[in-house]
Amino acid sequence: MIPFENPRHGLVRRWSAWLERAAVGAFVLAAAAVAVPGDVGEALAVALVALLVATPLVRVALAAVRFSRIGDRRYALVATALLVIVAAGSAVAVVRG
Amino acid sequence: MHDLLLAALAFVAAGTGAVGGLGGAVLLVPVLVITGTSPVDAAPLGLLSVAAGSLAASGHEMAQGVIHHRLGITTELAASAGAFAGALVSGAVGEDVLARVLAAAAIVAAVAGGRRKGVRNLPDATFSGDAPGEWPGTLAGAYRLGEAVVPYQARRLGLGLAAMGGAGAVAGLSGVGGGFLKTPAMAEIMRVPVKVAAATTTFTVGITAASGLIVYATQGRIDAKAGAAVVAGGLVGGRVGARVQEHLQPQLVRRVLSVVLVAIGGILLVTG
Repeated sequence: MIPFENPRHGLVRRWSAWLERAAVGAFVLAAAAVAVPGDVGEALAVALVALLVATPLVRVALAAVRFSRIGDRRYALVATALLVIVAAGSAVAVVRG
Repeated sequence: MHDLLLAALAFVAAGTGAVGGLGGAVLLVPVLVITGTSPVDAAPLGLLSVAAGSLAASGHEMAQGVIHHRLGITTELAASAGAFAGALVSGAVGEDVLARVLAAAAIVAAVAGGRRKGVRNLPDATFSGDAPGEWPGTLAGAYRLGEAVVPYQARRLGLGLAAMGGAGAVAGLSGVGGGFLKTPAMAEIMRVPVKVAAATTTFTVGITAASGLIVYATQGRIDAKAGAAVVAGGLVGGRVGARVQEHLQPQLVRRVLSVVLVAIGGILLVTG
C-alpha cells in the first residue's frame, strides 16, 4: 500500500522548510543584486535567475523520485514526462532562437 | 523605471496572483507596457515576478497541504504540450486577435466562478481526524477549512486536460504563465476546491515561468538588475498573498478571483 503523505509527514515538512530557505535566499540575493553596483551586482542577479529557474524543476524531479520510491509509478512517469517536455520545448526554442 | 516602483508593482501582482492562483504576469506586463517599458523587456520581468511569487508561496502552501502535486504535474503536462504548440505557431496570430481571445477567456472564467453560489466541496466528519494532503496514486485529497477537513476529487479529467492544453496554448502564444486560465479551469471544470486549485496552479506556473526564463536567458533578454527588483517585490507579495489566502473563505477567494479576472480582461482589451 502506498503510504499516506500529509503535512505532518517528515518529508513534507523538510521540503517545505527547504522551500522557505530558498525563498529567503532568493530575497537576500535580490536585495544584494539591487544594492551592489557593477559586475558583482550583475553576477548576483544572474545567480538569482538561476535559483528561480532551478527550484520548480528540481521540485518536479524530486517528486518523480519520491513517487517512484513509494511505488506510485504512474505519477513518477508523469513527472518524468513533464521534465522531458520542458527540456525538449526549451531546447527547440533555444535552437530556433 | 525606478527599482522601487518595479518592486512595488511586482508586490501587488505577485500578491494578487498568490491569492487567486493567477501567477501575476498578466497583471504586471500590461502595467509595465502602459508605463513605458517595451513589451520585449516587460515579458521576462513578468515571468520573473511569477517565478518569485510561486517560490514565495510554495513553502507555506506545501505545509498547509493545499498543493496537489500529482494534479499539478498532470495538468502541467497538458499545459506544457499546449504551450509548446502555441509557441510554434505564435508568429501566425495577430497580437490584437490574441489579446481579444485572452480577454474573452478571462471574462468567461470570471463569470463561471462568480456566478457559482455556495461551496461545492463540503467538510466530511469522517476525515476530521486526518491531516490534510494529497492521496498518493490519485488525483484526490483533503484540505483543511477552518476546523473541518474537506475531501475532494478532481473530476472530468479529459475535459480538464483539454482546457489546460488550451490554456497552455494561449500562454505559449502570448508569453504569459496562464495561471488566470488554469485556476478557473481546475476549479470550475475539474471541481477542485478553489483554494487547492489556486495553490496548485501557483506551483505549476513556477514551472511555466522557469521554461520561459530559460528561453529568455539564452536570448539575452533578461535585464538582471531590473529583474532583481521585480523578484524582491514578488517574493514579499507572494508570501503575503499566500498568508491572506489561507484565511479567506472559498467564496471570497472566488469573488476576488472573478473581480481580478474582469480587470485582466479589461486591461487586455484596452492594451491589445
